[in-house]
Amino acid sequence: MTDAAGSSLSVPAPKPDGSGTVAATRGHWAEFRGLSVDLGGRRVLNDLNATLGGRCVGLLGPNGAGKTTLLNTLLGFFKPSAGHARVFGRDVVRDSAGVRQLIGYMPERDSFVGGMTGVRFVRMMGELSGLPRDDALDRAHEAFFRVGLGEARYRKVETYSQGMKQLAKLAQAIAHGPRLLFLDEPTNGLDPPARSRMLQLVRGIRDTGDTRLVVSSHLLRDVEECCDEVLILKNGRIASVCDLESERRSNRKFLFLQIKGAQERFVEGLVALGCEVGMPNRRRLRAVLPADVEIADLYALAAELSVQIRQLDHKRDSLEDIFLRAMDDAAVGETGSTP
Amino acid sequence: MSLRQHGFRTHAGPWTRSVARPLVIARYNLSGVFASRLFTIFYVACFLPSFLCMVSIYLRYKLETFVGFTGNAWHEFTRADILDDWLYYGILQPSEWVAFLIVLVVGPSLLAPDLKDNAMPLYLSRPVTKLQYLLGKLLVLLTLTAAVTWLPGLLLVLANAYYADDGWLMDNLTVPFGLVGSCLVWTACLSIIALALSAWVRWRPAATLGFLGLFVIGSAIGNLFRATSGDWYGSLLILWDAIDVVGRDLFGANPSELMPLPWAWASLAAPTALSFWALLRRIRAYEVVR
Repeated sequence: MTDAAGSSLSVPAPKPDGSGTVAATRGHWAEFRGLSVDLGGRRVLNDLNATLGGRCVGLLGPNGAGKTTLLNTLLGFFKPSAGHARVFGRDVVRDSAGVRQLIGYMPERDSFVGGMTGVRFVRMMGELSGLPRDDALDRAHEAFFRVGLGEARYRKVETYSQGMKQLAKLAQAIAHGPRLLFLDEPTNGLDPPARSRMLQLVRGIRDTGDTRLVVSSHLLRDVEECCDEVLILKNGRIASVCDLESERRSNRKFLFLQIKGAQERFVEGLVALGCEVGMPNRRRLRAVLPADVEIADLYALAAELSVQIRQLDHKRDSLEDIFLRAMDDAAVGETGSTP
Repeated sequence: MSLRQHGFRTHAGPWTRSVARPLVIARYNLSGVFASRLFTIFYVACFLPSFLCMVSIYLRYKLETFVGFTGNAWHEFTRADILDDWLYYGILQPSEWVAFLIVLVVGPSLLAPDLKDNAMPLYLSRPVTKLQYLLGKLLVLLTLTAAVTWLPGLLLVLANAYYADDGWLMDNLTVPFGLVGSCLVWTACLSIIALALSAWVRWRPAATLGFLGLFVIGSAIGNLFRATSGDWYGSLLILWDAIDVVGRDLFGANPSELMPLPWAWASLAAPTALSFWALLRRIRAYEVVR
């Protein structure tokens, strides 16, 4: 862990083998060990080692990084050329059907079965997932209301708008109540209100029941709004695995202050409270608060010393910072040079 | 509880068995096929040959004494070789044509739309294998054709056995088995070829034309070759000739001289196997771009 000034606080640096194990301490539901996938004579995923345990895991990376390939491999569409992957303890190759029984999948591209009404389409998908006929019908209706397409459920799927098709794809993915939900670019082609609605739905699913989600996206903001863990891929390798929750918690305790008045006495007071204090320049203070000190205590100290707090900022190590840093680190790792 | 109030919940009840998945695909596709009134009318018309055959069986056995006015024609008809000239041409050959027409109309519409609409990731991300998916589609064609070919054909054979002298069925046991076997072989062969074309062309009208063309052009080339060379090799390109030879053998009718029996089987098996291989290559969740 490095100090202030925006360096990584809790983001594990990529290990030489490209591994990450943020979720090792939580009950993890996915595990990759040396996972490599070759497609069309090209290595698309290269020696992935990670465990995932977040409720909602964001799969990030530039185009062509291997996000969709990783999802497809977990779904059993592609066979690993080396290593293995497990989902809920089941091997994705040996027990492919068992794994797929647990998963709901929303593909990136437009996907539907033409010539059917929305509810019939979702019902069929539910039955193919193993739901009995009556349950599938009930759940198809529920899924349509859940995603906000209740009034359009008797329309033919091919007549839906782009946003409605996205929602119908989500409905078919959740209809059978999967334990794990793969959402590949769920906000693709959506206007801002529809995007907001989609993210709200994703958060709703995340916060209900036991379902785990994997959201693959190249839109950092989408991932930031939904996910508590991110797996960042670059060129088929893991660039970083990051627990966003602990990142957010640590950010809340990291402050930049600008004050007017008795600066030295204020610094002494902060140190007496147990804060780590630095002064990058005369105008600004940098403080890391211990767990038992709240921001209100700083205001109390300032009032006691007649010091004005002119500015107080949380350090914001946004997902964009994390992503860019991971990209830089990966680039350094690939070239073998030192920063 | 209102539908609107239900939250997201995992399924806690029982799951259906894996073997039921092809049946789900078949059931939804069958209901989709019958959504077209035109097809329903066409399908009802497909029962016409069986109906006419039933009438002829009735006439043959029951009205003989009342149709003396037909003179020699009726006399000859009732004395004709029962297998070759009557049941074979009355049941099996019309069944082959009906099966061909049904596969021509329905086959190309089964796979092309799924591939065009990118539905394969949705199917294959579920506990459904490629083979189960294909079996579901095949079941659509096998069910549709069975209901208008060998199922009524069996009833006709039973009706004939009922009206004929005692022991007719036992003396001609090859007839029901041959009927079912020939129809299944023919339908499976046609279906797999039609599905393969549908999967590769991905456009229903083109797949229909391609399927039709395969038979028309194959027959034309085969007949031309047969006419110019004077031997039977041209028949290898004519699937109708092949099923005729195989059907006669299974049915127990007089053998055809169109081509040797092993070659007829090979002529049916080769395009079917090739089409099946092509199908397996085409049915995949994602295309890998090299």
